[in-house]
Amino acid sequence: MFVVRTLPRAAANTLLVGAASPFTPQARNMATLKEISMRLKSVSNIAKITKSMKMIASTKVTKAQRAMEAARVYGNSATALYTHAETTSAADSKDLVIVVSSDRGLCGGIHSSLAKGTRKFLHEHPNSSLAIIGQKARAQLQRDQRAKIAITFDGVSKNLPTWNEAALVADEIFKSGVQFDTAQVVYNQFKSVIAFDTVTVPAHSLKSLSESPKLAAYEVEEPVLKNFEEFTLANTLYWGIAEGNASEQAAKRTAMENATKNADEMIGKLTLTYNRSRQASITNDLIDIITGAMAI
Amino acid sequence: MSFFWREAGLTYLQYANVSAKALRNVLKDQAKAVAIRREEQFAKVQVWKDGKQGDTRVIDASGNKLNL
Repeated sequence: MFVVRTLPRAAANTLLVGAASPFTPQARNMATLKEISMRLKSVSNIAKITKSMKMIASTKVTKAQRAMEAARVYGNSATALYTHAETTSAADSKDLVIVVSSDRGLCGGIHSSLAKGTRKFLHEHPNSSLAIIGQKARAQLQRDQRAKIAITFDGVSKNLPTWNEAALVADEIFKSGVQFDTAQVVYNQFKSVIAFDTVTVPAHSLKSLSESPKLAAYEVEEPVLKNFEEFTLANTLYWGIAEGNASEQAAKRTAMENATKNADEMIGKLTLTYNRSRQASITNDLIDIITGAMAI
Repeated sequence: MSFFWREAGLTYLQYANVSAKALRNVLKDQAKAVAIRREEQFAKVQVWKDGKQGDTRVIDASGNKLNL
């Protein structure tokens, strides 16, 4: 009988005989009082942690947004040529899908959304290879797309994204010798602090560029086009990494905010339960004492 | 019209990075400190072939490796 733990020994003995169903619910409450208080402490710790993570993420969002605005200029300049020269990828072109994610978790549906978009694209263009930036997307995609992976990257965009990083990644892709007609960069576009979209942006190779219908409008020679191809890939990657970073920080902020709200809700409910159990056990103690006193 | 660095084996991005590194070196101290920080990038690459090839290579920080 758990009752005896809190009652004075004398009164307890009188109860042992008749202690049947009326007292067992109270027995359960007493046992769980300690459990409830432990649970309360751990949930309030978690609430503190998620709250601080949310603060950090919200400061990072503003910085990431500024970096993203700067990167947008790079990205737009790259794609401006495509619109003017009307470059398109042929229906049966060999694509290289470059998935831009990151190594960090706890950011909501960012990585799964990227994996879903990539799988959809690969379904429509089965003749593609895969380049993955970021451990999280790699973990999701290597489960069923192992054969298509050509190259993966770790440790990109640890802090704010820089063009240098994007250039390194683009350079490695070219040096690895992967053959492709068009590179499709899949990334999360930052729509607002609470919304993002998974989009695909093309970066055409030399071959696709030279076959553009309206290239004659530009006075350009082939070696320069090759430079442009490499430069464009770096620009597009930089744009993708910057937007993906901003979306990720925003999603992390939202996720941590929800977690804190849920934790606070749990704390409220647990506190009520704790108080109720505490009062119930005190009431039962009083009943026992009074019954015992009356028996004398 | 062929570029000398292309013939030497560099890609355009490596060429751009080498020039940027040279520019950063000649900046005045205050701007230089800010710029040098931007140069310290590294990432890790793994080239795959039908499953992981485990070749976790660290890409050079200043990105001006020559194709050797």
